[in-house]
Amino acid sequence: MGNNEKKEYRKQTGQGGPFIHVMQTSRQKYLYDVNTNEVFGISDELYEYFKEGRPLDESGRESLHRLKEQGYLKENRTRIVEHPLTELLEYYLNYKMSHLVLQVTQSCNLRCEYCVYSGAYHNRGHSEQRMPFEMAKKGIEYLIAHSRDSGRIGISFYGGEPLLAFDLIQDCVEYSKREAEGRRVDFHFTTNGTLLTEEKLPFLVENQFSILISLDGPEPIHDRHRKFAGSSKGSHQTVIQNIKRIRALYPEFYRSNIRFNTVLDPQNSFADVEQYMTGEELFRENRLLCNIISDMYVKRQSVYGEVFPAEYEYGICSHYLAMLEGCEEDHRFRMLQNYAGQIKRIAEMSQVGRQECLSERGHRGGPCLPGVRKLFLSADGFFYPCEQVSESSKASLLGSLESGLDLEKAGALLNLERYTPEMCRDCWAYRYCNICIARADDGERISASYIGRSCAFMRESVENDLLDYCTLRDLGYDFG
Amino acid sequence: MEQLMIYPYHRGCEALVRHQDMLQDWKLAGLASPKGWGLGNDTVVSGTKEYTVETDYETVLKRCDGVWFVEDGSLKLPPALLEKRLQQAIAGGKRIIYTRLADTEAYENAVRMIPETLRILPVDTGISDPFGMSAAYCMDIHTPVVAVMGLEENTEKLEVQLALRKAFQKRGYRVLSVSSGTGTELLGMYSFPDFMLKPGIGEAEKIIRYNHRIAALEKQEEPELIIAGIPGGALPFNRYNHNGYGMLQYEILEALPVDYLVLCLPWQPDLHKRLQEIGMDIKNKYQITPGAYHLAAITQDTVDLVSEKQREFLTLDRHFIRTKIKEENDPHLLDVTEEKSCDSLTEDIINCLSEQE
Repeated sequence: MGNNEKKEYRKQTGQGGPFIHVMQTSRQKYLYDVNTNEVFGISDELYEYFKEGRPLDESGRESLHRLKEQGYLKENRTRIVEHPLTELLEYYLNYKMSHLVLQVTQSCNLRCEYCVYSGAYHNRGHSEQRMPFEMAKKGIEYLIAHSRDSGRIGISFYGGEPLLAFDLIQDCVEYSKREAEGRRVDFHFTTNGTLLTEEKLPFLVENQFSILISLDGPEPIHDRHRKFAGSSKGSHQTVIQNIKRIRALYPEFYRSNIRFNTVLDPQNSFADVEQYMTGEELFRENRLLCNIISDMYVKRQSVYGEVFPAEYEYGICSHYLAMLEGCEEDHRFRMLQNYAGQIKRIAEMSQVGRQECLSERGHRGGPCLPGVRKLFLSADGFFYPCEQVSESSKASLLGSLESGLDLEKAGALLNLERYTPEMCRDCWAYRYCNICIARADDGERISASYIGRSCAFMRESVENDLLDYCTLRDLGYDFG
Repeated sequence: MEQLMIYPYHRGCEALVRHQDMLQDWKLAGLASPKGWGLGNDTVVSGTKEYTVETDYETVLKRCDGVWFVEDGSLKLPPALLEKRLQQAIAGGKRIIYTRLADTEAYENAVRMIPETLRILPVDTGISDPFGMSAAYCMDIHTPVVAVMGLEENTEKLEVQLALRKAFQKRGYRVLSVSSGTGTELLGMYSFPDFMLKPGIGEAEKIIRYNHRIAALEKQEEPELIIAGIPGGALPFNRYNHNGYGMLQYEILEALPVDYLVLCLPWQPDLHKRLQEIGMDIKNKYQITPGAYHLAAITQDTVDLVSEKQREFLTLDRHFIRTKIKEENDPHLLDVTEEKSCDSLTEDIINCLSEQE
């Protein structure tokens, strides 16, 4: 049924038509059935019928009839927008909190041009603000008091550069260990690596910190952006020196607790970055992550260089081949492992089993449970769902240490679809949408038009992920 | 009466507190929980008395004569902290009831640590098997049997067993209770026999021995009603969370002729659709239909289920549960912690058993 036919059908029946999406690779056409959440191969004829409204011959009509008999092509949409966990949200907020992010400082000793604090983004800028210890203590007490049903709890120290507030981190860790008697607390931070000096290491090792070090690739590429404040000097040499020291002094800790994150500037060569990160012996045993420079709240969009897109796509394709060969963790493009995360999520959702249909009352994918899996406490004592959202906008504000968490506000962030019900109801990517408050905030409030700006890209991503999932599945990859 | 403290207190101990009037030889004086479990200042009501959960173990210890070291709930007490608390209790000359049997190594360590004069261990019932294993078949059980089973773990089975025991005793019945837990001799109930959980004993032998245990107790105590608690979860949830595939439940239901089954279950959305299905699944698997369902104040945490394949649960409150029960409007669905619901269940059991006679 082509788009015009869909519109006509809707006009005549008041219903939306079969809730499906058809898509294709170079080898195969697929149909994604939203109600059953299944994706399967279809004939060219059926594809043309659904896409362009081309009439079917007898065998095509039989295939169509069979699909309907098997429970596909239903027209059900969600009618009442309510996230299924809304009635339990209060209990989740009271008992299931598991991770606290403490913004221990907003200052940094680097001035990375793409950093969210650099001034290139609307929502943040560097400042000297530092979290008082009394505030951090209250945050820790809040975590403990609201986590009785969580198996594990963790505290992340966030910046700026968190190691600029190392003394505060030490105090927080000691306080956590006392207050969390009978409980294990995991500690984490992300660092630029320049302040990982020797005297800090015994404390970090003793408390088994998980550390994510930002390293953007070989020296010329890393130093293009990651420079010391007040200087044009790059930080690569300092970071590598510190990393080598950790490995020499604490090899086991280095292997199990240190990961590297590479921010990819699409103006650079991906191949050069990848070759360095996966080729260097220094990083051989560490988990590697990467992400392209964030475009959320950015003042000016990144420009893609000529070679980056093709090299990046080549890397993804190679990573998939490695998955098929069973060597994805030991492969040249292993820094792209987290890229496959979304495909694995599709696989997990498929393994839950075929759905009968969408519930009449429900909500699209996208929003997390705000304040539950993660709660961000800013240096000035305000609660946010995570560190990705804008701290300068009231839209994402969940409450404060003083007033507590605002249940009504949390409910509003959870039920984001209520701002765009008409737009979402007929969207075939309903189940896999990933648009959350971070993409809905125009700097002052939750904005339907801001949400709408992200829709096309989101749908394109979901389609790509579904097609990648299908291709891997059809080639025999075992998703487990 | 001696003053007793429960440690480490957690939600699974609520039934012990609510029915603390059934404690024999002890009076409940304090509840202590590790600070990091986030339970400090919680209150638990028992009749007209309200208990507050405390996190200062040493302060609670001072006003007690004995400490009951109970099994963990969803959070596990670190071994070093357990040892420290044990040593503090020993140093304070407190009598120690140690019913943490899940960790056999820690149990043996505790037995070594605790002086005999202070030690009260899970009681070996000393019930000999008059039939012996040479009688390799199940004996007749002549007394009506009410079984309490959980769809999942942590669905308040002990609460239901204690509430029913109390309700029937109030009506003048002699009740024999074999619970689903350990250390329940303190409440006048026999503990779940530990041989049922031991490896190396075949299923048929377990069935026969359990049957003989009940038959021997029946002969000894001449009860008018038997209440049997069945530990664990009755049905697999999914491939990864199989609850032991209901093997233990099967063994007990083979050993005992159950006349009435109370099934305890967590709340879930679409419960009205699921309740009938659950009843049918139980009937198909165990050849008995639940006569009543107790709705426990927990629900599954669905957020972790897809991403991590493991199950965690979320605590609810009684208000939520009772609102949901009212909405369901199903006479078989109830909250046994509510006295009138417990009375209604008791009357239903009596009527049902009378009809069967």
